[in-house]
Parts: sequence; C-alpha cells; structure tokens
Amino acid sequence: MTATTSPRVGDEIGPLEVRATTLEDLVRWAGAIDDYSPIHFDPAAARDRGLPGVVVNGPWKAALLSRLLTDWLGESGTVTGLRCEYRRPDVVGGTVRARGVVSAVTRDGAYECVACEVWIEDGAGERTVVGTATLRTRRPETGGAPPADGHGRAALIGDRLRDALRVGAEAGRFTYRVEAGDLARFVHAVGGRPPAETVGTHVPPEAPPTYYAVLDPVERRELQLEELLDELPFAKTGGGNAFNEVEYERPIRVGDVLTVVTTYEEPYERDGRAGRLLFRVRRNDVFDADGHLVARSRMGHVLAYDLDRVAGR
Amino acid sequence: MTTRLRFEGIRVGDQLPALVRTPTTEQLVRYAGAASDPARIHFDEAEARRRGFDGVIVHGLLKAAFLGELVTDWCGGSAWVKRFATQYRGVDYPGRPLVCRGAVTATRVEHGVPLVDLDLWVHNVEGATTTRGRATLAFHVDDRSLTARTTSEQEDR
Repeated sequence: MTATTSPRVGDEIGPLEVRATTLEDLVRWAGAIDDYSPIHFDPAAARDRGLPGVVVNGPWKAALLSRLLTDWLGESGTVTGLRCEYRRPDVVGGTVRARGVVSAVTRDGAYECVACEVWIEDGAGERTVVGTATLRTRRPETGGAPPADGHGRAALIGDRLRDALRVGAEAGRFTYRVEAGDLARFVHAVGGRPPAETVGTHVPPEAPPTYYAVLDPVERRELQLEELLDELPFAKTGGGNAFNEVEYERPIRVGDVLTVVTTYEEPYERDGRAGRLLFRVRRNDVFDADGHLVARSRMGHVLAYDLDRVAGR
Repeated sequence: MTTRLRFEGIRVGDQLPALVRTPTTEQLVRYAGAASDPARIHFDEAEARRRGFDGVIVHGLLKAAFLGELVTDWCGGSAWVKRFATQYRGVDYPGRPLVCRGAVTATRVEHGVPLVDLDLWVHNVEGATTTRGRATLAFHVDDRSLTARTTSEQEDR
C-alpha cells in the first residue's frame, strides 16, 4: 500500500516470500517462545508422528502473516486482529508465501477499518494456513518507502579484513537487560532438565560463570562483520570457537542493564591439523548502567582453510 | 547438604567431585535458544555432515557451562567465579557421556581476597580431553573462618 492512497477492496497484499524455511528459523522460534516440541527440529520425531519431515511451527507462519500486514501498512496503521487456521503442515526447506487481499473497507472518522483475507501458500500454491485480519489505518498524508537494504561487500583479505573488523576501534555496542526468565532458561538448558521439572526450583540471582557468552553480540548474530570471509577463494575445512575467557569484577545479576562494547584484536594465522588456521579474537567490555566495568571477555574463533583447494570444489 | 567449603581447608591437588553430563540434541536446541546462538552445526544434522562432522556437535560453550556447574556445585555460596577460561580441543556428539573434572592448582591471598586457582577439563568416553579450562575462585571476605585464620594462630585456639 502506498501511503498516499486508501486501500480498496480487491487490493492485493504481498506476497512476502520465504523461499526456503530453515531449521535455524525454527530453532530461533523455539527459543524465543520456549516451545521445544521435537517435531520442529528432530526429523526422527517428526517421522514417528507420521509427518513427512520437520514441520514449520504454525504460529511462525502466523507471525509471517503479521509481518506481511505490518510491512504493507508501514507507519500508516495497525493490525487490530488476526485469526488463522492451520490446514496443512509445511516441511522445513520448502517455500512459504504470505499473501492477502482486501475484502472490505469501512470509514470510521479519521480512520479506515480494513478487513482482509490472508493465507500462507507453499511452493506449489497450496494454502497451508488461511485466516482473516482487521487493520485500522489513518488517512494518509505523506509517503515514505522503507530504506532499501543493499550494501554489497566484495572479496579480499588483509587490510579489508582488518577494516571490516574495525580492528582496534569499537566494532559495536549493544545493551542487554538480564531478566530472571533469561537466566532461568539458561540454567535449565545447561542442567538439561525441562522447565516443567524445575518449576519452583530456586534460580540464583547471580548468573552462572559462562553467562557472559550469552551477552556476546557476535554469537547472537547482532554484530556481523565477517561476511567477507565467506568470499575467500579457499576451501573451508573446519572451524568453530577456539577459546573463551572472562574476568569478572563482580557477578552478573538479574536486573543488570549491561552495555557490551566489542573490539576486534589483530587477526592472526597459523598452520594446524585442519589446514591454515585463521583466528579472529574479539574483546567484550561489559559495563553496568552506572558505567562500572562488570566483566571483560575474549572470544576466539577459528576457521580452517585448505590453501591448495578452491572453495566449492 | 554438604558443609560449607572453607578456604583454609583447600589444598593444592584437591580434586573436585566429577560431574557427568550426557547432552541430548534437545538440550543443544534449548541451549541454542537460551544462549541466542543460532550456529546450525549444533542442531542441523545435514549441515553438520556437510561440514564434515558425524552429526550435530555439542557447543563448546555448553561444555564450558558444564565446567561452570562443576565449579559452582563445589564452592556453593562460599566463593564466586572471578576468572573462567576454556579452550576447545575436540568435538563431542550428543548422547555420549562427558566427564567434567577439576583440580586445585594454587591457593593464595591477593589484596586481602582469598583466591583458589583450578584446572578444569572435559573428557569423553573415548578418553579424549576435548575441553580444557582454568578458573579462579574469589572467596567471600566476610567468611568467618577466614577472619579467624588471618588474625592469629593463638586466637584460633
């Protein structure tokens, strides 16, 4: 919808397409809503239930419909209602496409109430979710397209890697609030017990020693400066976290509002069993709301390359 | 419940009671959610195989967290973890037991704070040590036993 025109019956909304849903989408969802039904990540469990594979969470698809509508509305209105029926499973890896069409528009003073049919269709056009939504929009005055997101990065290493990592300078700054629920979820995850068995269990107000890693913007994919490494022409032969270390000035506690300042150190390489090893080390300085240092951590990650083999061969 | 850990009772070479954990794939998913760590080799079998592993692998930081549990189970409320460092030397797969161990390497007092240094490690059933760590515990200075110890031997009866 452009902000300068009113919606009309028959107007199409979207589509908003996810060409291939991924397990990562589902695991992020599971973590966010604390739903660990294994049919959403475990192929064997899904097959035991007679499903053709790991299936996309219904509410995830509803959330995609919600985004379809909010994207369409932009700043000019709000979604006031959304109802969905889940008709068929979508298997992970498939295409899901959120679409809608305006079915009614009624005036309400300075606003318009818009009713829509919305649905999710799979790659073959089969509707797997059907629903209805109601929207409330302000009479438009000014237009404004969302900013295009298209920053390309070319492939090189050396100074380009240092520049990308902003070596020696502040690479990013993020603020996180330590909620009791976050801490409980972490403690339960490490303890390997489902929350149902630990209801009422005392969760200490002080975070466990490795909680600092949860506050790392790179692990969280909130700070991503390493895309150009994917463009190196050498075959990747391994990689993962190499080391993590922390020194606390005091324990992290529930209620802390912590600002994490990330700085990359000079990257280094050496030969290893898996090939040429490229280490990137980032330092996180963690400050509390009063600006006092709480912790300083170093996170080392390694990628291994076969310098004699071209990527993709 | 065990008795409170006392700084003056700790000797270099003391071993921490071992902790055994057998992570499941579900636990990896829970950890990924709780730690906001979306790396796919920890939950996506196909991706893990594509990357040359035999299946999804246990997060290094989850093994570090097990070592964290080992330490905090041992010291209880007597001390807090001031330094904690881990290095990842090998991969582990879910469904196989991991044995977490630790030993005291030093005891010292710095700026009036009693400190205990620990070596930590995780080994799997094949006998490979896949994670190594170090930690420093800072004992709470209001600990009565410490006050008694640092005043004088006579007062200590």
